[in-house]
Amino acid sequence: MKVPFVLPKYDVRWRLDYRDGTKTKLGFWTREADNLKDMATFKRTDGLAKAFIEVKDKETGVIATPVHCAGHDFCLFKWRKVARIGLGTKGKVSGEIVALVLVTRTMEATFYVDGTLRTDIRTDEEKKFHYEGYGR
Amino acid sequence: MTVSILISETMAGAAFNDSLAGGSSGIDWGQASNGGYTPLTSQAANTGKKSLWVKHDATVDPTTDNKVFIQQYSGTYGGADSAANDFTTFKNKGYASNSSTSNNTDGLYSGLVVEMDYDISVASQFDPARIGTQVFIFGDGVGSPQDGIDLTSAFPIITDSMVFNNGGSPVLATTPVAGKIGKSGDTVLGDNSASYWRFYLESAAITGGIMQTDLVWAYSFTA
Repeated sequence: MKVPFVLPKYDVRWRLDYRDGTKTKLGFWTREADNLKDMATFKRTDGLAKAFIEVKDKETGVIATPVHCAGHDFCLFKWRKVARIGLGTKGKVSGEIVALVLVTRTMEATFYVDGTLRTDIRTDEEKKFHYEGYGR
Repeated sequence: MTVSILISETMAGAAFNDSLAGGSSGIDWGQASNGGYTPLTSQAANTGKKSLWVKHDATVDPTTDNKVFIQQYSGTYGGADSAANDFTTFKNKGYASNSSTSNNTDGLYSGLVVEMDYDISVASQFDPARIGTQVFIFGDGVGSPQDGIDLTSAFPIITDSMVFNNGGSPVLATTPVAGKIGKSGDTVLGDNSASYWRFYLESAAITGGIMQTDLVWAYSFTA
């Protein structure tokens, strides 16, 4: 029996809204981009008004935005995955998505697909770490 | 982009693919005797261990928030009891572990244990004095009621396990950061996490037979 790590009640995706009329950029529901140009990290951030984690209730289809930040505060989105070892580890293991993380200059907000929301303050050490996508 | 991880016994080796009881594949930890551990070479010399090398194929950023924990076995169960009971047994053995000797000569070491200090001396490997800092027992109660048994209580991968693959030779990462594994070729963070593993069996263990569990690696990567 495969025991889920978290019970998936929601699909999750990232969303970037612009203040200059640029069309909203959206990620895929609970799925990584297939190529670099579709990754959030390669979308432009000038003129960014807000960054959101959008969630869709798997039962009702209702979409909500439980997590957002101002554009000037946005750093990046991260997928959170878990990979089992002990079964089917023939070659590389691509785990299953359990959460989407919104990273701001000061905080990380993690929305798990079971509906749990966790916020963490970025440590001084963490703030020194530069992600390649934006160099910040 | 999808980011996959590869877990192997050597730095450049293929992924684990041992045949397991029940028909699934993964990591075969071997057989432990009472008051010993597995894999075991020489108990007196504190030798014998399973090495796990973890790397990934991300091309944009390092992976972050790397953590490890155990869960109920999800393969086709081939053990002596049940997957659920085995998971409980793993947790209970970790919780009961109370040894003061790395090689279990006091017979009180029990459970699945990971040593995250890559360049620690052989004599000091799995030293119970470093439990909670560099040595971690799945199911113990050091940091919370029971550690390393779910996503919440997972053990973060520490800086002492970060290694750079320098043309086939492992070199310590120059400025590693806890939980972060660099892209291939990253000398600063290191592009591999290297750790050592044992399953200890206490002297007083009564029930024998094959036990099975899932080892779970959690990680984050740029979306």
